[in-house]
Amino acid sequence: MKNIVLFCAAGMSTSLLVKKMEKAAEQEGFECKIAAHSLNELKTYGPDADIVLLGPQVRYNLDKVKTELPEKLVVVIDMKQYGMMDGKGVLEMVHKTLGE
Amino acid sequence: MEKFQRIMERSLIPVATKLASNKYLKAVSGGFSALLVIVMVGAIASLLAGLNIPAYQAILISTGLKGMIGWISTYTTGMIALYAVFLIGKSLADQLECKDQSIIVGITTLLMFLLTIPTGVTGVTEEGVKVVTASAIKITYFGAPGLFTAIILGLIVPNIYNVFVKKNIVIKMPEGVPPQIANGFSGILPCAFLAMVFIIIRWGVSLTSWGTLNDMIYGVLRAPLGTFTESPFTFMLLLIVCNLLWWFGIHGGMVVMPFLSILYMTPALENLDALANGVAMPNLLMNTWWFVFAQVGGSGGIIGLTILMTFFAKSERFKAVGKIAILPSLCGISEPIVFGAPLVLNVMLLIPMILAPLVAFLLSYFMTVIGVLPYLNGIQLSTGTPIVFAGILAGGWRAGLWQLVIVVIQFFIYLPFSKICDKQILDEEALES
Repeated sequence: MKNIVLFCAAGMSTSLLVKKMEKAAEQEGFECKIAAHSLNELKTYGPDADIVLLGPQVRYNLDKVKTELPEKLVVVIDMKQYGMMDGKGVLEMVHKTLGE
Repeated sequence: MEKFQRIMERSLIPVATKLASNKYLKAVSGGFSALLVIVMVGAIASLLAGLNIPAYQAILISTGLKGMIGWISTYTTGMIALYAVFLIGKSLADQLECKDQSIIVGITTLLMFLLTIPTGVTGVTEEGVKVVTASAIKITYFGAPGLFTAIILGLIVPNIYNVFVKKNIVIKMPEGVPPQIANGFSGILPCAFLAMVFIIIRWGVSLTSWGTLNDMIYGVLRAPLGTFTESPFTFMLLLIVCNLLWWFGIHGGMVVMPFLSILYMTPALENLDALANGVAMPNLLMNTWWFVFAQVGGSGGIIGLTILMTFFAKSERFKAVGKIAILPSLCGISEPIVFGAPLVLNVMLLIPMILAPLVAFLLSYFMTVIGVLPYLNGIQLSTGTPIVFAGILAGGWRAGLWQLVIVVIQFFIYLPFSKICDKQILDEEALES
């Protein structure tokens, strides 16, 4: 089971996307855990993630997150997909990044 | 326009990025966000005690409930600096080498804060008796007036503590001693050193006309900061910077929030205090304004735009984004619009995105000055509080109703720009199909 963790400023708008992603995952029968948190909680929730996604509004933290979690896959979510709350699209990107 | 974009990308964005990841600003905003639970409970108590319905007030007073509810405000918003100094100290320590001991650093910061407050109080008790007590601390220093000291100590003390940890000047325990105990011991030297420093500071300040460190810091900072915060231009500047950053797709709130908290939280707490005590509210501008009157619907003030897109747009994309964005925007979340419309780097929508919050703010300011709108009570609302409800909580029905007026204003500010945008997209869509 894959653990997908999203981070933004407060974890508020990303949690909207999480809902959509969960729905998409259920439809394709992809077993995973998806959660959204505030960047302040990076140290708590980052280490257990299989893949870390950043909201585009906090993309300038990418380098810092990568140094904090050197072994993790860290990806910034595409602005368009984020805006459209395109859970399916983001999940596809996750599959690709995880090399599935 | 492209030139403007290039200049901004070279100047504003790096500065903003630096600010947003600055550890001191992060410590302040991290500390304040952890304070939310205390502030909210205090605000609810203040609202319950201050609700202006004569029959309700009569019951509260005759049953003695008013005083009892007041206790909650006194020990929450009334002692906010006490919680803040610990949380800011801890929050900064979390980002330094001493992060394993951040709770001890927080406690140490709290001790230094307390150490600077002399004992001995003359005053009048709740029962109206005049007393002189030697073994008492004036709780005024724990409240909003102590907040500046709390912030300053919260940013200084952990750094000094950290020097000890970095240079390894600590009492070391032999291997095998559990880390909690070892950490406790390693805190003794830095904490003792800091205590020495702070008793000297307290003694030094007691020789001046200020008497206490709190009175000194408050005395020196409140007046100039006060003039600064009372000016609507300061607030407008923060608004412009925040929304401009969002236009570049960067979380402007994260950059601006520490400044908003430092400058505009104290006035808000002073108003909450006044509400609980049933006296006139002293401050017009405070951080409550940000969510209630300026950024209605989130950054960019976009509820008006979501309505335009959902119900009046012709292009498929605008209609689709509007539908996704309208409910979140009613709760102050604007990311779907910002990235979906998109507002990001959208030249056509830059003007209304900056203008809508500014106009809403200025009109609200004007309406408050002439007395049509009430002074807001300073309640600390978090993003996610629905429109109208937020207004009612912060300033009663007039403020709630005014939020709807702001939506209408937003609607008309965005209207011409949204129309052009919608048409462009419609043409693109026609080409594609």
